[in-house]
Amino acid sequence: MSETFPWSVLGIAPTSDRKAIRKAYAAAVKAMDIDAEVDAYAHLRSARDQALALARETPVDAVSPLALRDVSEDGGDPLPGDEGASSSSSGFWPLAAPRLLRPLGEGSVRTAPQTPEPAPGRPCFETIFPDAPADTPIAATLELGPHQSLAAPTLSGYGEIEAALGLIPGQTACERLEAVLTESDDAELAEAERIVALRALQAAIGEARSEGIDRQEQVEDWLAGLLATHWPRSAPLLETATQAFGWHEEWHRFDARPAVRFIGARLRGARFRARVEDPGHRYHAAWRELNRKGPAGPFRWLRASRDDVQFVLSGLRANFAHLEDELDPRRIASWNRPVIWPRVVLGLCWLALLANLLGLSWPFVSPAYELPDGTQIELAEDGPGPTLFGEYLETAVAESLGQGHDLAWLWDRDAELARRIVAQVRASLDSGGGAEGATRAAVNLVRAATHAKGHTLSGEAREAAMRLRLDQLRAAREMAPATCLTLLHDGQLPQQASAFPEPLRARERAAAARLAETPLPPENPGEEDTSVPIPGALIDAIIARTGLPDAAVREALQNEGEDAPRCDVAIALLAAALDWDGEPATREAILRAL
Amino acid sequence: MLIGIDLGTTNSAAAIWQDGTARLIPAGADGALLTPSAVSCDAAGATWVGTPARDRRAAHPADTATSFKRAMGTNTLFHLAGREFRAEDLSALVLRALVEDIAAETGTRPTEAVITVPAYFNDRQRKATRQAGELAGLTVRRLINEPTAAALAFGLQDKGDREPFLVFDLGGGTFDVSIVEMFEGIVEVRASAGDNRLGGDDFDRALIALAAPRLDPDGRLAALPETRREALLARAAERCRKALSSAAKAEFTVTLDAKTQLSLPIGQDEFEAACGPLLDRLRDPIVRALRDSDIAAHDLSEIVLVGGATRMPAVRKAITRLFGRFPNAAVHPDHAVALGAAIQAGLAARDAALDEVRITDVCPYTLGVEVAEPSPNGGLLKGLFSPIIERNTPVPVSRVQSYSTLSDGQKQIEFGIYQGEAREVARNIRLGEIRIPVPARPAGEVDVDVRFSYDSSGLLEVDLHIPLDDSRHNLVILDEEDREGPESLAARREALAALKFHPREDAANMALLARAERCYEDHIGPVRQNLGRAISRFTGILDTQEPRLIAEARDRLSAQLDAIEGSAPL
Repeated sequence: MSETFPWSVLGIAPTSDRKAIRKAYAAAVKAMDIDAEVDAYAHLRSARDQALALARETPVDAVSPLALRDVSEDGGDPLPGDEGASSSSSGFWPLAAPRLLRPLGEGSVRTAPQTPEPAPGRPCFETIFPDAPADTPIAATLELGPHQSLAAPTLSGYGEIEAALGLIPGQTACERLEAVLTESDDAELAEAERIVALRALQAAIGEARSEGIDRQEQVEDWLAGLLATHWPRSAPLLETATQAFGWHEEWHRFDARPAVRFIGARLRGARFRARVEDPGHRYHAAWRELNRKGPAGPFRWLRASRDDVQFVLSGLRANFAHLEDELDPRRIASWNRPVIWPRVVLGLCWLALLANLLGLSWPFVSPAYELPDGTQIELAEDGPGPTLFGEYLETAVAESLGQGHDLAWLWDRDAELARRIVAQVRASLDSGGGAEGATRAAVNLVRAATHAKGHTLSGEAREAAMRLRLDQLRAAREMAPATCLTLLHDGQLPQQASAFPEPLRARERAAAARLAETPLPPENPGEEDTSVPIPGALIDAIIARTGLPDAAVREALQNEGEDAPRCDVAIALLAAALDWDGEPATREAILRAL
Repeated sequence: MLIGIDLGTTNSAAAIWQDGTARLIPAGADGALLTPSAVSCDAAGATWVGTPARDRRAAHPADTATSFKRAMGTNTLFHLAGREFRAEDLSALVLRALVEDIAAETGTRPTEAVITVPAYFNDRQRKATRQAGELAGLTVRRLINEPTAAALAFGLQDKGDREPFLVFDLGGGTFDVSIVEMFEGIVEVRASAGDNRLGGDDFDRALIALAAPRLDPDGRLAALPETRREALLARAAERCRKALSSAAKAEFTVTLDAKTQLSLPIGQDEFEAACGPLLDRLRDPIVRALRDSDIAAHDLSEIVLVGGATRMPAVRKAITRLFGRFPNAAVHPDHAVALGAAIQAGLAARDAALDEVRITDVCPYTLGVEVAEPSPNGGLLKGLFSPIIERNTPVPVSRVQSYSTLSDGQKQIEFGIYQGEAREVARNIRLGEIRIPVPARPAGEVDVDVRFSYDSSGLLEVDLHIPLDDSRHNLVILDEEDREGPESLAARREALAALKFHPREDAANMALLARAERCYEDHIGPVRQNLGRAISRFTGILDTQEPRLIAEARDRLSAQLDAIEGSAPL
């Protein structure tokens, strides 16, 4: 930077007079429109700031004499460890800068005050807390020695645990805290130490609370550095200190103090760990898996899902990277490698295909058939294998819905019916009905389903469905009156009945395929009991069609009497109702009953 | 005419710059200088603003809104008598009432205003405030930070030089701290910090939490509908807190009906203990402002108190302890901000009396973009915040920062623009985004210069420049994408204009009636019965439409209310 900056910008000769600098700056600001000259304003600001900084550095009379004396005393004092000297210093704070910038390395941090480091092993309180212990009679109590301190009279705020640990009575809370944290190299605080440390921490916080904000900040800064330096020994203290100073507000900030960020990562890591160790936690399995030693085997995906593990890993890295250091790197490495199990599965598939080609049945698992929606159904050990079962299924479907239709086609349109067909075919095969029985069962099932679906239709389609029904009943009557009645009540033909003639079958298949997309109506078992009033006109028509006497017709309509007249009356009623153009509601009720 | 408006959480005030001095404008006929930030409606669309609206809260809690400033910049809807309002709409109604007062006082209708906002209001909250001004038919010339305005009012008392002082502004809903220095007529804000969710309302809530469980052993209060119960408790807390500002003990009193009054004495110490967590929250913004300005607390020349909540002894005690000295109460805590806004209005109008005064402010939040970084353990850390303008940088300011592509053959870059202090953008406030095409090159070979320009009114402009192909892109963050356009603004303004306001002469009667009703709700026994009779008598006289009779009756009722409120412990 040129010799003339910042003075050239301010338009004055180099000076250490703050007033002159500010006057020049004020004149320059008033002469410009800062909203229009953004860069010039920034330039002027930085010139002013630099000039003021230079003025501060130059030791001239303009600088406050008090501050000067302070600097010379503490800067020139080579004895930070000398109690007498430091206690004699006036009440002024040697570290007036509000920020103690200390570099913090990962895992190992050290409070670095701006004054020279005291000799190793010595507590650094004298430099950080010059006003703390001087007037307490430490010298006298020190003579007692660590063993005798047990017998020493208990001072106020000084308890038996402290005494047992050999701590010095009369220590300030801050000193005691540092002593407990530094006196051992153990990674963890012993229970007694933990109690003392926590008590000392709370006392230190309480003392700071009753002080001014500058002092609070010094204590806070010092504490943050101390706790960060002595982690993991300080681990049980982090929560309390964080609550007291609101560090949780700070550690998310991009400009958080390094010690606070360090503590934040440790504390959040501990909180995360406490939560994730609960077996009910969403990522518990992934966490446990990552904590195992050694590389993970090919079946690691059985223990935790890959996505979960990756999620936990990326969360660790973004938030508390130190937790990853505690995990076995080989384990993590194997999770980072592409998984080889797809190849294993592929190999198994080849084996299965080979076995199938050789006509072997898979020796380990019971045969299963995969449905179009991907679910597997188990087949009987001694029944047909999956391939044969599939063939039977397709035959049954083609017989029910016509050539060119297969199970997948039906599955897309009416999964419920398809599922029932599969169940029916399997049940039929299991009961020894063979391929033919299975097909017949399926056809019957579809016939009943088509009839049920027909009831949900209206208009032309409804009429066509009922005409088909009429012809089915007539065909069944040809076979036997009982068959007709079974069809009338169950919608199905009896198991042993022979099939309908082919033209009727074709109409059935066409109707089933046409109605494939119509959903099955919910079953309504109460429907059979509904009584339907039949108008006299229809009774007359039935009598005319059947030639039966009036009484026999009425008996049949009550579902009484012999099969043949009941069947004839039902057919006649259906035919008459279809041709009748009476009241629509009554007609619909009659059709529904049939 | 350019006016200054303090749009507060609890109270608002308007001031003008006239004849070389800032002057507050009285609200309405009774000469009060503050207008409560309250709006009340009835089913017929009649609307009350200010004192009568606050009084109506007693009898019509569900149809009255207060403290809506806390909802600025959010989508919260207030339902008053079947109408929906956003916080901006309600603020606009308050602004309009202030404009009416100025028009009545000066004879001219102001069209331009300087409106104050808490320093720690974020971009969204500032935009909502600006919009409220527009809805009220005002051109908002500038938004000025409340502590800055207070500093202006404080500093211009004698125009002398001042070493850095701290403005401690604890209002009804927000807390701000600013460190300000004055020399040679320059008022320089060094740093601002705050908590835009901490204010007198929170202390009321602490008081309710303290009193409610002991107040109501029979559960009679708990059995009331929620809006009514909350309104009763809020009013009781407000009164009790005020009383505690001048006495060691005060009654927390809730009037349930004509016969029942629940009452509980609250001591200063109890209240202070209950406020502990809130008082602790005062520390963090102070520390941040001190750190950012690199000033030690003992170097501050003054602690200047602003905002109604600084009247609380508990707060003053905490301040005294934090700074080791007594705060300066030289400025009126409720008036300073409005007066400062009027001074800023005078500055903006280049008034000759302010020729030697300049004010420089800072931007209290950090502004930056979203970036991704390779993680040391492999992989990519996404969603990180990269600051471009750091907080407490003097404004206006223009800063540039360079970023490069992350993957080979990358064809475009998206910059999410954020405001806040967190390392992860998810914790910051998203202001907008810009997506630009970049020439496809190997990763890291394409640089993009991102320039942020932030002006004194808080308007951010983003310029992108790719040196490789010398292409330039520009984005002005005017509104977030989900904000509606000018047509809908006009529609909302019309909807507000359709509300019925009482003519000025009626307004006094309505306000008195609202006050009488509030008084009625607060009392039991014979006093209440008397009030009930007086209210029906007064409404009867109003119906005669006889101006002379009405004026007499108004004076009588007013005197009666003064007597009751003057004597009762409430």
